[in-house]
Amino acid sequence: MTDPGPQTSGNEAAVRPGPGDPPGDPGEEHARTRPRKINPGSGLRGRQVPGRRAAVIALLLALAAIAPLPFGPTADYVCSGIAIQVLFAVSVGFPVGFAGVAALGNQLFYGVGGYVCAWLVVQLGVSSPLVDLAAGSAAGMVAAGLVGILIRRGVGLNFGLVALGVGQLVYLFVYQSNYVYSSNGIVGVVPGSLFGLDISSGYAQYGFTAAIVAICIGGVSLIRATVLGRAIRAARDSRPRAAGLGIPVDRYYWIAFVIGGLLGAVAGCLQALQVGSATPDMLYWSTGAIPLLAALLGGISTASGPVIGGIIYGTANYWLSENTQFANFYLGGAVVLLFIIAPDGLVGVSRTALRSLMNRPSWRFPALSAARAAGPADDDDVTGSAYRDNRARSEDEGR
Amino acid sequence: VIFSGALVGLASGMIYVLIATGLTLTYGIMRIVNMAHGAFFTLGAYALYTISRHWSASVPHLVLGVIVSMALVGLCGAVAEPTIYRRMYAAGHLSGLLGTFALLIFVSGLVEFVWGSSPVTTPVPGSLNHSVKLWTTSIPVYDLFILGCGLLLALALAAVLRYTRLGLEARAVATDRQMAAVLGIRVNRVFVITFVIGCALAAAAGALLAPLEQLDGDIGSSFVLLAFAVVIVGGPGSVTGTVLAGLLLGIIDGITSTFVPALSGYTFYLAMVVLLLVRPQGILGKAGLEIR
Repeated sequence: MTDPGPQTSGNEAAVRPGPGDPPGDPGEEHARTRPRKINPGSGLRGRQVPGRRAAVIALLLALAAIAPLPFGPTADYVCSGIAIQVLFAVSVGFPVGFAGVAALGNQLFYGVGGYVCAWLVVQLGVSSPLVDLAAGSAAGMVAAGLVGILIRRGVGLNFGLVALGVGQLVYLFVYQSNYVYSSNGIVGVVPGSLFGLDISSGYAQYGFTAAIVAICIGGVSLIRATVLGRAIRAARDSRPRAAGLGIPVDRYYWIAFVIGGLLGAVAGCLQALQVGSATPDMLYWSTGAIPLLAALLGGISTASGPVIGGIIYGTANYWLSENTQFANFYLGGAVVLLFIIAPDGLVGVSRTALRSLMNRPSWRFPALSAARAAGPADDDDVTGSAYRDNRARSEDEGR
Repeated sequence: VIFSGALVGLASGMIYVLIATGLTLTYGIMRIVNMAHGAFFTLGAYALYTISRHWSASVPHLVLGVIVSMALVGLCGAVAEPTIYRRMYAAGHLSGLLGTFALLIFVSGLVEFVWGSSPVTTPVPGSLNHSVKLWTTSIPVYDLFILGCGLLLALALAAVLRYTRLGLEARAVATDRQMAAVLGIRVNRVFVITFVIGCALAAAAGALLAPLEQLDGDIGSSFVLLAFAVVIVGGPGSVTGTVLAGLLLGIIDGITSTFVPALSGYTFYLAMVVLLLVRPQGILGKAGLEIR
């Protein structure tokens, strides 16, 4: 099947986060509406960006490290849960937003990761959390690989819905049959200690979770910047064009799907270690839709969007379920409102606002416009976001 | 035995058909993947539950209740379409899907808010609460009742789409929205009306199912997924394909669960996955839905 509809010509300069840009780096910002020019006097591309990028990364890591400290003893657990939400959101943000693969069934790999991890701890008594994590993630990745092969023929939403169908099959199997524990799942998962630190509670728990999550996010950012990432992006932007260039498009979709599955499995393992159980709920389809929602809330086609969306959604969800009885009601309502007001997600909105601010000649921020002129190294002809393509396309279809 | 399994499956297939036709209608005409269809299903079921608490459980009351809940939920649809949905049409399938998913979450919260979080049940009307013997097997009368109602509604929908001016306009909009607008069809009006019809069908399915299932706020999320399976298998946007797919999946599930009860529930998805692998575009679909 081929891409319907022509590519819109406005894509050349569409907003893309720079490959490898850390979340929130203002260097991501660059002009969309006009051709990119190197401003005289702003130096060559990338001259001043790397130092600042490192500083921003360090700052964000430091912020993440002290995040739970001001909020008392229970905050470690809560923040750790939010970190897992973030990773889960990133795990769907990558295949869906970056690769344009409708990976709707990610809860399957989340659940598989969680179950395998929990099983290792409870049944085999493997007490090293890193081993549990690695094994659970590997299992999730293998599952993603298999599902990816199985559903290779489906394209677009069909792909996603077959993935959902497979996920639902596994859910029913786990929930209804007694082959895989009972419908209560595996309980009593006690993570062992890591380097002599007990990571089952307290700040050590948060530190462990956050470190793994940070490594995963860093890994995703790296992948976005590599040749692999660019090939995936090319496959997303224009399937026929990428295929014409000799890029094995289906293989890259598969790879992106598997990477998403792997990240989802890591999130599942962390979840199992954190709450001490793996339950069939982890495999239910709406479990996988929540992180997708969080990613979209932040802006799914950006690097930082899923992270920010995950933080906001996780925090809001926690706060609302602590303080009100009807978290779904408020959260769903808020997201619907946000959709109506800002269909691009929060990052998209702030970016648009920032851009319109900066494009006023009299108010240009020197630092930011320098960074913009320097721009991320991605101005070949495969730029443009799937999300925007989508819009253009649905307008085409809607004719 | 096969026959009774098939008949039971046909009844549940009819429920799928009712939900899924509304879904495929909104997809075909508005090009939006409407997860919140499950929300309207839930609202329909709860509307019937509320009505049934005030009336005695008899067939005329049930029929009236179904009609009233269809009307109420249709009204919700008439409010939701211009305010919420119209903003989402331009945003692409994926964000439409997720925006409506958020709406689904919202409504499941709303249901807990209004009706409480414990599951509720609705009685089956006494005159329908028994089984009849058909040839060699016994079939719950209520299943036959669902089958009849579903058939009636599906035929009515087909007739509206085929023979009325509204149906003609709706098909024109589905084929080419812009051209239809140029020719003087009030596209937004068609949107509202078809959306209301879709919601009313979801409500009918919910209301008819209410006496058979325990209701809670999350019931929509499981049924909307089933409905999606049906839509995709039938070929997105094709009402006939959806009807065929719903009945087919229902019958397959019904027969297998008679023979191998342990498999009940799985076969639905299994059949969906297999059918899609064989025919990715659906039974009567032309091309797959693209959300990339």
